[in-house]
Order: sequence, then structure tokens, then C-alpha cells
Amino acid sequence: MRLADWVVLCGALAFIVLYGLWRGRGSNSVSKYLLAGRTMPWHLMALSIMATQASAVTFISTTGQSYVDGMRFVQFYFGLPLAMVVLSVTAVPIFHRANVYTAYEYLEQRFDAKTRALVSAIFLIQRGLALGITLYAPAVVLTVILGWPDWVTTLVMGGVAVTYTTLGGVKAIAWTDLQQMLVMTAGLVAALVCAVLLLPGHVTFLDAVTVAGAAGRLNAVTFNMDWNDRYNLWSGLVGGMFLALAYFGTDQSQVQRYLTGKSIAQSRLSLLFNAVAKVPMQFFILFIGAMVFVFYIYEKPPILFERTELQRLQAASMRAAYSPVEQKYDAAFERRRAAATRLIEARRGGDSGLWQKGLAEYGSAQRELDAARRAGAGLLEKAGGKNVNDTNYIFLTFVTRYLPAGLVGLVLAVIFGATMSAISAEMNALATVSVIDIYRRHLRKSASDRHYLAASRAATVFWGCYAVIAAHYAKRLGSLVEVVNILGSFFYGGMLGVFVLAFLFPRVRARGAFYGVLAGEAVIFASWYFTNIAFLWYNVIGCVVVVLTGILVSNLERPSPNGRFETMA
Amino acid sequence: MKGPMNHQDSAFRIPHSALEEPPPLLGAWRRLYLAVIGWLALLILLFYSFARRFAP
Repeated sequence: MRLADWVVLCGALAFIVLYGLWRGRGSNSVSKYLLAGRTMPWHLMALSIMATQASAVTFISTTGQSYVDGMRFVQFYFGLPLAMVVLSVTAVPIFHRANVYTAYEYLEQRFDAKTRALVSAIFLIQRGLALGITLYAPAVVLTVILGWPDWVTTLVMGGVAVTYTTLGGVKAIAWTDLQQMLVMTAGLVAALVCAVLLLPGHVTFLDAVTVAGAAGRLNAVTFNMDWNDRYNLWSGLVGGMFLALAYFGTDQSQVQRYLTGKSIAQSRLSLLFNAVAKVPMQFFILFIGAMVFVFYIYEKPPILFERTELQRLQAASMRAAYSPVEQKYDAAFERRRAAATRLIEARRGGDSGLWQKGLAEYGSAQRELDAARRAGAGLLEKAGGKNVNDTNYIFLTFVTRYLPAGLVGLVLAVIFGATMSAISAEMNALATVSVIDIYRRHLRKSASDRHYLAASRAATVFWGCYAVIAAHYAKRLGSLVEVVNILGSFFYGGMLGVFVLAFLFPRVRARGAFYGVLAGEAVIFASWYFTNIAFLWYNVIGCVVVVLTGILVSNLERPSPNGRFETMA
Repeated sequence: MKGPMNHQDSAFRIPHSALEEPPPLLGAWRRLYLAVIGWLALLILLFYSFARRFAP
């Protein structure tokens, strides 16, 4: 980090936080603090929705995902536009009409307090766990760059986010998100331009795309239908749609964004903007990862991107075992670079024979390189007894080593700010559910608005402390973006199912909904434990089980004398 | 706090006034939804063409 980077990083963060606090002033009632008095215009909600979803994980992990697995992860988002349309038709007008603070408050209007409490508890568990991962992401950055211990960085980041979230409420979050999205866009464009400009002079942009394609990194759409394959067109469209339905329709951290809208139309427009912009944005981020991959074909990447693990590997105590691995790695890198050059020559000359030869050489060299990387990781795992996964360090290593002064600070500001923005929205939602669905509903039913406002602020501080502790345990979970989505899929299917019952099945009553959720969660965990079904399908399976169980249980209930189904006592 | 609602009164019935509020583009929500779905189809087609063009 150079002086210019520190100036840009600190200046950008200070501006974003202070601006958010300034815009959030006057949040002196529960309604203003939690829902901005329902005054938000669509564009502010739209950017807040996108910023909440696009945390630092988006930058750090998605680019790494593309580096190791190609762009097929973009298919995960194909279901999102469909979900936005469905929610615009169903959830948005229903929640607006119900005049609720939380999605779960509506469940009591539709079913009963028990179902509301159950789904609220599921949300608190799921979102609380995800909050720790979201906060850990910037700790990765600081660990790589500054060498600070994880617990210090999570404490600092959590503390700053808690401060402005506690003071400014949802309004401060929304205005901060607006700044984040602007800075994020600038940072993304800058990162891509740098990745392309830093390629050797003889490699054009078209050459780079050709090599990325030959390396299998541009596999954006795959049609193979495989239940165990995480990302293909079908799992993206169906599983991704169910996950997006659950995330945007039942997760309070998103529902709360569009509940702040002035009207149904404004809330709908915010979701539809997300539907239009999200897929191209993810494609763009993944494409950056693919270009970083091409960059590292010509510039030798470290055998492991996590610096501290690499230093352990290079230490004198492991030198004897590591040296032959390093030699193989170096040789494979040189062969891969030569093969890539051959591919470019073949493309320019239109020589299909040379192209096929280059492809074979490239594939062989890549396999050797991967084997050497695995061998290096294996040495560490053997010595330390823990898994080594450096996917999340790839993009940051590129940024900090090769981007010019000032730009490193800008990209880091984007990552820090985006993370604080995401966790602030999550903390705000967790605090809202804690106070509205638990505290006000079950513990202190009638108190002043001022009391609940103080309780909301106290709950925000509580969840901030919880996030810091949870983040400490999030570091060995592999690719962060996958962990967040896998974790969500354990719970979202059940949550989505109960809202589908509420919206679409008027004859289903409280008992059916309650036992439906329990059955759905049981089947999801059984699917995870006993099968290899890809996690995106958990959302579909959970939702279907909840709906079927809800209908079945409701039909088994004896009709009351007036012809209606009995409700739970 | 409100208790359980009669399902006949539940909120899945959307008020007419809310449905009639038109979007700023294309004149009707249905047309806007179709445009969004069409945009998704176009993106998938473009991504597929891109992947196929540069496939090994």
C-alpha cells in the first residue's frame, strides 16, 4: 500500500460513512428508523437492493470462482429476473397492503403467531450465520495486504458499520448504498481495463478472449442436465429462480429495502431494475476473473495465492519437500505460456492443425500446473492438518501487486465499503426482526415508540457483536460466495414454501403451514446429508415439500361447523 | 397485534387501485414484465453465442 492508496481508501470510506450519517439524520421514530417513513424513490431502493446483495464477496470470490471454474457461475443468476417479475406481481402489493415492518409479521396476519415465530427464528439463524461470512470477506483483504490478524480486522470493520447503522437506520444505509454502487461500477471498470492493459504487448484483447475460451473460462452457458452439477442452465433457471424468490421475497434484509418505497409501483420498479441489471453485472465481474486468469498465463502466479500459507510452504522446514513441487510448477507454467502463444498464432493464421496441437499442449500443461498447486496445498495440509483454499485471494493478489497507485486504494475502498453496506443492511434487518417479531410481539407488547427505537438500536449493536464473533469461525469454509449461497439454500426453501402457501393457497391454515415448514427443513437437511444433489435444488425441494405438506395437513383437519378449517389453538 | 386472519380476507387479493397504477414505461405492468423476460432470453442467447464462439 502506497500513500496514494491510503489517501484514496481512507478518504472514500470517510466520505461514504459521513455522507450516510448525514442523510440518515432525523430517524427519530421506529417507522423512520426501520422503514425510512416509507418515502424512498425507486432508484434509491434499486441500488440499495443491488448493493446489499453485492457485498465484498461479489468482488473477492466471484472473480476467483471464474479464475478456477470459468464463467458458468453466471447461470446461477438466470432465475433472478423471473423471480423479480413473480415478486412484483405477488409479494410487493401484498406486503404493502399488509402495512408491515417485516415479511414475517404478515405471516401472523395470514396464519398465526406460532408460524411467524418459527419463520422469524429460521431467518435469524440463517441470516445471522451469513452475516459472519459477509464480515469476514474484508478481513481477507486486510490479512493479505497488511498482515493484520483476522479478529482485529473484523472488529474494526464491524465497529464502523455498527456505528453508522445504529445512528442512521435504514435511510443512512440506502444513501450509503447509492455511493457504493457508483464507486463499485468505477472500480469494476478500472479493474478490467488494468487486467487487459497489463497483458504483454503482443497479446491483443481478442487474443486474450481466445485464450480464455480455449482454457474453458468462457463457459457461460452449459445445457447438460445433471442434478449433481451446481451450475448449468436448468439449475440456474429453476433453482436460481427459487433461491431468488426466497432471498428477495422472504429474507428481511431484502424485503426491508422495498418496504421503504413510496408506493407499490416504486417498489416494483426497484425490483425490475435489479432484474435487468444484475445478470449483465455478474457477467462483467466474472469476465474480469477470466481476464485475470489470462493475465496469469503470462505473469507467473504464486503457487498459492494466500501469502501466509505460501510463506509457510517456502519456509526452511518444508524446503526439501517443496523444491521438487516448485520445479514442476515452474516448468508447467512455461509450457502453458508457450502453448497459449501457439494458440494465438494458430488463431491469427487460421491454422486448425496448429490450433489442435496448441489445445492439447495447453491442456496437458494446465493439468500439470493444477497438480503442482494441489501438491503444494497437500504439503501444507499434511503439515498443518487443515484445508487450504485460496480462491478468495486470487483477485486481491492481482489488485495489490499489479494495479497502479491510487487504484489499489479505490478497489479496496469498494470492497470495504460494499461489505459495510451489506452487513449494515443485514444487521438492520436482524435488528428489525428481533424487535418487531420477537421483542414487541412476545416480550414487551405495549411500550412507547421511543422505547422500541432504543430497542432497535440496541439490537443493531447486539447483532454487530455477534457478527464479529461469527466471522472468526468463517475463515475455513472455502469459496465465500458459494458458502453464502449454500447456507441460504438450507433455509430458503422452507421459508419460500410458507409464503407460497400464504399467497397462493387460501384454504391452507396455520397448522398446515407450521408443520409444512418443519417437514421442508427436515427434507432439505436429509437431502444434504444423504445425497449429492446440488445445493440450488434444495430451494425447489424445500418449497415443494412445504407446499405439499401444508395442503395435506390442512385437508386432514376437520372442517369447523361453519364450513371453514379450524385454526390452531 | 393482529390475530390470525380469515382466509377470505387474506392479502393475496390485490386492491384494484394498486393494480391500476401504471408503470412509467410501456403503459402496462404486463408489458413491462414481458420485456424483462425478453431481456433475459436475449442475454442467455448472447452469452451462449459468446461461449460457443470462443469454445475450445
